Amino acid sequence: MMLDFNSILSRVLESVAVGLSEGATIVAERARQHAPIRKVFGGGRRQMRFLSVAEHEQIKGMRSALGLQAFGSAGPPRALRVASQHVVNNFSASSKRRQFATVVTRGNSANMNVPAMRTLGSTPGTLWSPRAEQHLTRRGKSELKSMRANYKGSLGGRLRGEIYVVPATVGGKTVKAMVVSPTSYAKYQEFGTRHHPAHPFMRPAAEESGGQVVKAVRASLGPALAAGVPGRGRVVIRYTMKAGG
Amino acid sequence: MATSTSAPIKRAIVQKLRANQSIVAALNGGIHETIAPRKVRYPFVMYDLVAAPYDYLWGSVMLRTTFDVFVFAENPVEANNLDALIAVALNDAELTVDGQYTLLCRRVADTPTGPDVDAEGKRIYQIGATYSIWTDQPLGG
Repeated sequence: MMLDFNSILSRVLESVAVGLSEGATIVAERARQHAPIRKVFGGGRRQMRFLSVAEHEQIKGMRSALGLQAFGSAGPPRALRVASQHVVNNFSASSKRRQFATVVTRGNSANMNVPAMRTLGSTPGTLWSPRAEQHLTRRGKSELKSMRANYKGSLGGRLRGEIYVVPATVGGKTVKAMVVSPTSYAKYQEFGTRHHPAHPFMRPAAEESGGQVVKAVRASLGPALAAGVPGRGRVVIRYTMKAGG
Repeated sequence: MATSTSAPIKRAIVQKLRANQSIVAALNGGIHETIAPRKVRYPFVMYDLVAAPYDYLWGSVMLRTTFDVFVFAENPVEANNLDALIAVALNDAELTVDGQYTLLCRRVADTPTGPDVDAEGKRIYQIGATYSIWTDQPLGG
């Protein structure tokens, strides 16, 4: 029996590319979890956030089943739809909230164009927060007012929001996928500076996900080999990572 | 006995650097972990643990630690010279780690960082590299 090694090799490389892309997605997800977030809330480490659309719908369904008053019957406000899940603000319907809203809107009228920020203060009841205990710190307020930390209508979250995956490509006998953090200050977070301690998030993600990446590649390789190679074969998978500036 | 952590590896790195007289003589600001105090003199060395996943094997635990070791200096030549000394001291070094055997200590990547300006307006060069240190220890001490 004649084996066409070139076709086997190309099939293997294509399968590796599929598995590696999947692996890169795992690494990117882990990097997002590790990426540091701005400390804009006072009162300890617990973080407040907008309800996600799914959570909003779930609560709505539950209240309806229990015969309670409809909550947010007009559907989740736009702010909930645009806010990324890990970010971040909640205010109880108290005078403090209104006071804060005044500060925000008076400070910078441009804020009114940002849905998340408009929702923060102007429409009571758009945020549902039974355990709202935290309020923005001075820094948080300042960042909200200046819009310096505004990212896609939310306060903060840029570093993790911008991490993306370049799907795997085959070049000769090498298959390469990339997880990229394009944010300008990403390298300062990753490596630290004279003034700022490092908060590595990309390399720990790669280190911790190595096993899963190899598993994903191995899983994608199985069918490709089974189709073309009779008997037993052995595939060695080497996983390397490289940091670039 | 409990499993030994990455702390003895940090100690071993510092011991290795301090054992090298050329490095000690060249450093005015000493060796610091994570971040150096504001008024420390240049040049100084800073090291930081990047990741330390544990691999539980049959009968042993392997720690695959990654460290960044940076030199901060007022001129790039000094920074590069010190970085070269550190590379000689740490690359393929036999580290003495309490409760663990060193399997590997290798410089795996030079780290790209540009010049920075410190609180006094001085231009500061940050040159360094990432080191991979693997250790092994019997399970349960």
